Amino acid sequence: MRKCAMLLMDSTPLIFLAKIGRLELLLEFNLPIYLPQEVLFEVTEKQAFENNRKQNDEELMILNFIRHHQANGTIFVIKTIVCEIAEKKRSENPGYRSKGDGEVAANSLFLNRYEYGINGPALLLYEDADIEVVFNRNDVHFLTTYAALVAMEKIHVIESADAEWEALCKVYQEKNHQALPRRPVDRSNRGDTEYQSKIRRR
Amino acid sequence: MPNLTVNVTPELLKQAKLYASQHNTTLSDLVRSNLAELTKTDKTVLEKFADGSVSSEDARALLNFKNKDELFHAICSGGLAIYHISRDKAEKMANDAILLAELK
Repeated sequence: MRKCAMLLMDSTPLIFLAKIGRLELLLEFNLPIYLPQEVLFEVTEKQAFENNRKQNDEELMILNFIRHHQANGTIFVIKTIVCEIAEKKRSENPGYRSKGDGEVAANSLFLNRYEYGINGPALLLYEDADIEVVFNRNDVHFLTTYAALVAMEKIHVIESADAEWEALCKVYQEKNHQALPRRPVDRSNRGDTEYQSKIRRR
Repeated sequence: MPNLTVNVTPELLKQAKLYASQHNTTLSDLVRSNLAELTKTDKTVLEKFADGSVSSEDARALLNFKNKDELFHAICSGGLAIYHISRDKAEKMANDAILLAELK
């Protein structure tokens, strides 16, 4: 059977999971994760580049997470032709301000996915509502960040998707909306049935 | 009502006074109504984004936010919650993902 792959179609899921200290949940799907270089740039470098400042702790934390799992072959950062063009524009003109390059790069990754070795069904992780309309195909499945949290709740890796979402909103209530500290994944209840999970909670 | 001090150029002040007298109103009323209109528009866009009827890209463009973080902060600090799909739809997506990823 052809293996499914997760494609990160926009930067928001990465931002949201980082904010609640839950980036590691991405790995709990046990799927290869693909994201375009430009989406990674948007999350970890764009603000620093455009405001002529150093990357902040949160941006570096996300970058380190991606690089670490890129090195161990779980995450694949894909440099599409869109990324190459955007990089060239940035190197030639420090005043270049990208608008929607991440989105175009994600489209390019999706459309050329067979070239990048993604031959099985694609699970698109996204927040932008257009994604479901634009990429509606037989072998494509959709997952929003909230639905990903619900999946984690269902396999008992987190207690409650709603509690995680509430934590996210709480982070954003603060002016500096600083990310919560990383929370390691607790796999002790993973795969429990509803009954087993209830017993454990008692 | 609290007072608001605004610094403007003499030319703009002259034009604004002329405009107010031509429209049978006062400078205070002009500033007040414009501020009310601006904040009302912002609130409407944020509410529409919070209920999912406006996309984050559109909301950012309409409200002139530099990045997504600014938009999400405006939503949450205004007492609204960040939009997510319904629990029913999320359950369907989650079940699909669990099956695909062979998590069970």
